[in-house]
Amino acid sequence: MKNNTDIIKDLEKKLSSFGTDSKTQNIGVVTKNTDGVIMLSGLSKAFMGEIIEFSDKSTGVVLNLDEDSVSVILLDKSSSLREGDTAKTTGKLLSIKASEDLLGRVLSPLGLPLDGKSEIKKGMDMPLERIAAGVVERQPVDTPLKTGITAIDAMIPIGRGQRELIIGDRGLGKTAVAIDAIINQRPQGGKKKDLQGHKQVICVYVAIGQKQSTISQIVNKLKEEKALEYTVVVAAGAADPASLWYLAPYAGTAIAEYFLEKGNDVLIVYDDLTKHAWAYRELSLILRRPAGREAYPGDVFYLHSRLLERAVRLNKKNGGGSITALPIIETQAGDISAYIPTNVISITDGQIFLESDLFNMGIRPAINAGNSVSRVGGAAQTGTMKSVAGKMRLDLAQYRALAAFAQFGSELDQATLGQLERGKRLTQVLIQPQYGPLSEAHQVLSIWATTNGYADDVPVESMRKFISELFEYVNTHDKKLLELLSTGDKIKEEATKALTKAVESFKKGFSV
Amino acid sequence: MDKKKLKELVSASYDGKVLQEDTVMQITQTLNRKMLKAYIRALKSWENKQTVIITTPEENSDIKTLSTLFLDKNVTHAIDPSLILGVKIQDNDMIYEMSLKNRFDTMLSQLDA
Repeated sequence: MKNNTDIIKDLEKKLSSFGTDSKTQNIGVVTKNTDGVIMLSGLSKAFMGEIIEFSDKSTGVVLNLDEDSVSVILLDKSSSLREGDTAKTTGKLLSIKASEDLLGRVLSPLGLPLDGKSEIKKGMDMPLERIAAGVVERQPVDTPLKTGITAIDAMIPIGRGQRELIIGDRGLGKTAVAIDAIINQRPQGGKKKDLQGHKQVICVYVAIGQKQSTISQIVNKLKEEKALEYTVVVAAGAADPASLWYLAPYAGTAIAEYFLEKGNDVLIVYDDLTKHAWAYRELSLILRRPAGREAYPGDVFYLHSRLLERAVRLNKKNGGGSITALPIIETQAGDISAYIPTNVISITDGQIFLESDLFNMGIRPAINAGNSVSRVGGAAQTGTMKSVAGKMRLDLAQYRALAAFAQFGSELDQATLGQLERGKRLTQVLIQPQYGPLSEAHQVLSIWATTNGYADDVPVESMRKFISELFEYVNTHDKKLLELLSTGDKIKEEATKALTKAVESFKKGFSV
Repeated sequence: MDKKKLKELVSASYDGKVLQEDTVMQITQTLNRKMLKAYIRALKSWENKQTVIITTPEENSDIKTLSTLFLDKNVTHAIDPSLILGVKIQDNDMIYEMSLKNRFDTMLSQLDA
């Protein structure tokens, strides 16, 4: 314990340093204010991405450094700034406070609450812009991220740490696919790990430029499905300035990285990056950066590549967490060869392509299996799914090829007709209602029954009934089979026997 | 008019630290509105770079000593009682503040945090 003399000595020390405590400020003067972008003279010590504080207490971020001026994007809706107003540097990079308390919350890209709940004051400051993890810290994608959508989990599997693009025209269910994937991460029976020992996934949903009503609908749906408990929603609404649209995905990623650092697996949905590119184009044109193709600036590729590169699967030495990214891109009239779609297709590890023709035919989710691909997810597929998915993919591919010929009305042999009929039934198996993700066991069960010919005598129009009643039957009569199919192991003799027995006994009681 | 030419014009407008009115008038006659605006801005920027403002809470004999630190610049003296004690020096876009007011502000912001 310190004695009186020591305490007084300490105070004297403080006193001696009292006078030397000076503050250094770098200031600038507003020279121009155009649509949320402020030009300033001075600020010679400002750095890229630094927060600037204006005299009216509004803030902005440095986006351009010129020889004798600095361009700053405003983070508030403040338009009262005038020529001659002053601003100062803060020495801080833009960051967001992240903690476990964020789960279940709806936030702006600046971390301000949008759900009417209390402000988040505590937490780790996570920088919005950050260099992605390097090669040494990573490991290959080897764990599945189940979306609960049969068509995806069987044909275009997604692994934890993968970047899978969801692309399609407006109104085809891109958001629905992403929301289903979030809902499917709900822990089974409150356990933190599933039957195959995979960690529970934390979700981040980033809404960019969406209507407030749409965001509200999504939040309510997540709440209804008890998915908001493990989800953080970052929203930059349609009425928010372009600067917030631009920052939203980076804020979402910063939050995801907080959970990644804790060793968690995170799923992040960017809905959507087309609007993100629009916002960046708007800012760049105001900043007078040279416009390129479709008036986008030259670094629009880097805008998305540096964001999506932050999706990662870390090795055990670095915590073993992962960030799986599901960016969404909206196309015009199904044109995937436009500038932004091709950019993001080339950045991601595959895409789920939704097609309007399929949607109008009632095939929902309207996934075009031909144009959709998963470049790394196959390695993450479980043995159980692999055992049935291969045959299904083959059957469907043959069906698609034959269906094209069958349109000419030529006479077909029995085998070809059989393949066509099988294909029609398989297509029905892949139809799934919205917000109704299926467990892997149910997915495997439906695919196995169809690819092994147990549904060949069921009329196509009764296939949905067949599948739902099969699920009901197994749920009530054969829970052991579901457990067996949930292990993730390859389907061997024992499982085949159990599957045959269950499906045959179900069929005995099934009537169309 | 590019930045290099603008700089040349500005340096031609000065004789040492003094702005030459005749030269400035001559130059402005040849400029259009847009150029004139850029020229004025450049002159202001030059002036700012050449000026140091030393602010104290009251008349202070130390000003002369402080002025010797900026021999190559125009030093102006301002009085701001709100500083309470100490000095504030503005050199172009940099502000160095060693005042009691600054100390109180820091303490208040720390308490708020």
